[in-house]
Amino acid sequence: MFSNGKVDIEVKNTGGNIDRHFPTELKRVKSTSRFWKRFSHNIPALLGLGIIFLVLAITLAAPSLAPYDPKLQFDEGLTPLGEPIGPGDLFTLGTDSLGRDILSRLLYGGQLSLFIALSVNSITLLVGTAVGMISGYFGGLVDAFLSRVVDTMLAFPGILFALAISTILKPGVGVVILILSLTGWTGITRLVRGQVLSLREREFILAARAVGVKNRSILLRHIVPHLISPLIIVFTLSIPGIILGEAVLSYLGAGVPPDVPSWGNLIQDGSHYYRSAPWILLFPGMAIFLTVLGFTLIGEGFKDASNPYSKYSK
Amino acid sequence: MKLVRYIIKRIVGALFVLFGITIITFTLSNLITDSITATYGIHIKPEQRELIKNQFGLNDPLPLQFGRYVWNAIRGDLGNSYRTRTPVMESIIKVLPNTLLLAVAGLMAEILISIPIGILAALKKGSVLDRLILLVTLIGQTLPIFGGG
Repeated sequence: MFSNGKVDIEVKNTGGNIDRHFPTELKRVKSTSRFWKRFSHNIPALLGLGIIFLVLAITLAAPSLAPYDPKLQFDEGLTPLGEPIGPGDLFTLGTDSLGRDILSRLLYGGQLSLFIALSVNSITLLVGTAVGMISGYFGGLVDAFLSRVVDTMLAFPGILFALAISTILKPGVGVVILILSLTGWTGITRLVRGQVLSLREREFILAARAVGVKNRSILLRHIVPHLISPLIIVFTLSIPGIILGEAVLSYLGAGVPPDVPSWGNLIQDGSHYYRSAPWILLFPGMAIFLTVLGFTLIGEGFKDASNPYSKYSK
Repeated sequence: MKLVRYIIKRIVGALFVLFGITIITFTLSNLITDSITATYGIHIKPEQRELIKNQFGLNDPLPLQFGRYVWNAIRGDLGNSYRTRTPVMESIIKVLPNTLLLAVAGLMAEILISIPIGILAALKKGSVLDRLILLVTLIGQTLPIFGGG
């Protein structure tokens, strides 16, 4: 089988005596469909996909599924002593310390956390890929300069940077996205730069340059397609990290406003009451765990599916 | 000769990073807090405020303030802390030995743990141990910088 990297030609027998030795049919199989074929044999990955579909469906249906307004504090939500109520018939998953329904907060919180995760990922992907490509492809002074910029960003301790920015700009969803993007884009830049550095020396790039294709075209049309595979893997695998990062920011008080629910917020609230009211911590914790698990499985599945030597190839 | 050029390039790069960090720190610390309130409290009359500003040169254009900051910093004068009213350099030097100890210890622990584990994982490629190590590494990598705690 020969390949130019994008399309493979598979040789297929149609049976019969002579056909056993001489292929009578050449079938063009795109590497993308082989990718999905390998993915479909990967049971843990399919499980991950199922989990994430479930999580997405449930959180997106929050307006219709949530029994109550997530920000509303109920008098019935607290015992006569003012303590939160556990899971019961009025409040399916119990209430938190202010009498708010946990199930509703969980559903709306999922929306927010996933939104933040996807936004941060998209921003870091765009910025990181752009910088990484320019740095890796053009080399020389540009590369040196951009690498120094990356080093400057990395020199700052993340927590201090996060706290500083959240002090300057009032805490909110946008600020959280900003902070997580600023601390996250360097990872993708490094990855992309490495990939581009190795791609730059491949024959088809050299051929394109010899023929006179402009740099911009080479970057966009020849290099980017080869970046898609590792980028998708990084994209899925960093979502758990971002969700947890948002949780940490909320724990530090630099996250979303306390009345707006997000899984990070719920964890922060719950951690104060883990002895007396463990359900406040338990359910968001389970939700984060499931989501992290799902995305990790999918990411691992992508990694195995794009590797032709993995055990899922046939 | 080549080594000298390489060293020079690295030093210039490091200076660049240092400069970048200085600019960002200066900007952030100016944006975070009003230094007069931080040093003297909130009960400052406006006339006193003007006096203090003129005395410390806080009415000068920002690039001039930045230049003064860098000039002093190179000479080891980082100003006085808002909280303790003592020179910042003193505080830094006081805790420097402990910080260095922590950093070196962390580095050694990192090397002593990760290199053998990496070699082990590579030797037993494909085994359960290998996949377990890969899993732990993966989890560690995807956590954000401040999420590990």
